[in-house]
Amino acid sequence: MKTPTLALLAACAMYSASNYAHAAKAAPVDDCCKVLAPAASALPGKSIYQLDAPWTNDAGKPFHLAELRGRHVIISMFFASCRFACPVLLHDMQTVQSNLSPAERQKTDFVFVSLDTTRDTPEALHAYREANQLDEHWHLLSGSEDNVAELAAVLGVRYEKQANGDFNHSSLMTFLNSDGLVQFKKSGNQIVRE
Amino acid sequence: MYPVIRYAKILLTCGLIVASANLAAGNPSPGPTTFVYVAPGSFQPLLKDKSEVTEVKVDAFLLEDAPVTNADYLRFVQENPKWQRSHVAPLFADSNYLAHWKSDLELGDFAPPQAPVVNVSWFAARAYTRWNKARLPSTNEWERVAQAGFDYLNGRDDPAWVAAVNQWLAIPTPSAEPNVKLLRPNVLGLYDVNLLVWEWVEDFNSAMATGDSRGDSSLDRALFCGAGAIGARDPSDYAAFLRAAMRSSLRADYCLPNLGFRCARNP
Repeated sequence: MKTPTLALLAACAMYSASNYAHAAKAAPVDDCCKVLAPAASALPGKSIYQLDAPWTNDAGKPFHLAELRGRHVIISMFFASCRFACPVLLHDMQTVQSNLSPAERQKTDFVFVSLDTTRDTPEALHAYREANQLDEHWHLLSGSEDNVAELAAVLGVRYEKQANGDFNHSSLMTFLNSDGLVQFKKSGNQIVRE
Repeated sequence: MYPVIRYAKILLTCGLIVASANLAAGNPSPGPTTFVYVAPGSFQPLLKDKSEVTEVKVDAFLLEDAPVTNADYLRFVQENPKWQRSHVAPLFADSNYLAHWKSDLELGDFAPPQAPVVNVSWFAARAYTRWNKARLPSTNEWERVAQAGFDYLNGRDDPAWVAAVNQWLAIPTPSAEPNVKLLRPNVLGLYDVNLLVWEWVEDFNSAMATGDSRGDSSLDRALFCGAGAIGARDPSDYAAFLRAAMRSSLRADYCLPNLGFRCARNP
């Protein structure tokens, strides 16, 4: 039962292939048959890399979150002059980094996005990097208020600017897989698996 | 409970009658929306905190006089296909997005054109406002207008308004919202403020920031468990309580059948 069908299919395939080959020699190649550059596979519908907001890193260069695709990412929001939650958050993230195996550490990046659009300029963030001795796996980003609000909404970070320019904010680490999908969240002492 | 349901049914019927009258009159597209100038003002914040601020000042701003309607939102998705129901990314809207519409571009029986659009996430509402060269109102702006009565700037002095607000809170969400602007406007010239649907604000996620970075109180915990009233300035402002609770329970991708929005602009 199967063999005749298989033979039939093979025959069809060979027939079409020979026709095609004939057509290819005889005429210019249609759009359908040109070899396309391998298209990047589409992002999953819940990937946060669908956010295409332009950020600036602490070297003053433009940065898009989608550049992190393919890496393991831990992303969080903070502000450089924070005296309460952020030092703990930073310490937790550094602890994660130092506990990774060398192989894992190679693949893992840490992203800190500032809530403080007024004071956390690239220069201020660079000073933060130096003060805390953060290596090249760390990305310190600043952006517009609109983009900060959008990213916070996606991650579930709650924040409120105070009269003195400081922020009350939730302390949240979000772990992303290589496609930008949220895998875990760590808020305070709790890990929530998404 | 029954009289309330009867009231809801009457309201719904009136809404449908008005809607069909509109359609019958050959009036399928919405009129231009009106932005109302809201003068500088203030409001009393719900919560007490250690700063003991009793009045929050709000600068002047412009606000649409009614929620964005299904007809308005239809124009938006016609021009922005990525916001159509079958195209929207799950990151930006949950599975209830525009659930009350018949299809991507058809409103259907549960989405009267002049009813407020609901089942839209914060991302979607925001995208609409940007398309309309506007933004969402801030929490402070919304609270400032939310306290205005029908005839008095301070709604608490206005029994008819207090009754209307509490009445709306008691009514179950109808399967099709009534039209906007069926009730009288408030003293600021704004219709349906907390009388028709909950409405998104730009900074909804500033509500009840967790206390990690604050040395002080159990303020946020106190508000939402049994001792809730202790942390509030005016425990009788039930509507303000519910708004605060609502905002702090929202996530940006939520699409709810009683949550819509309207546009704001800087003056």
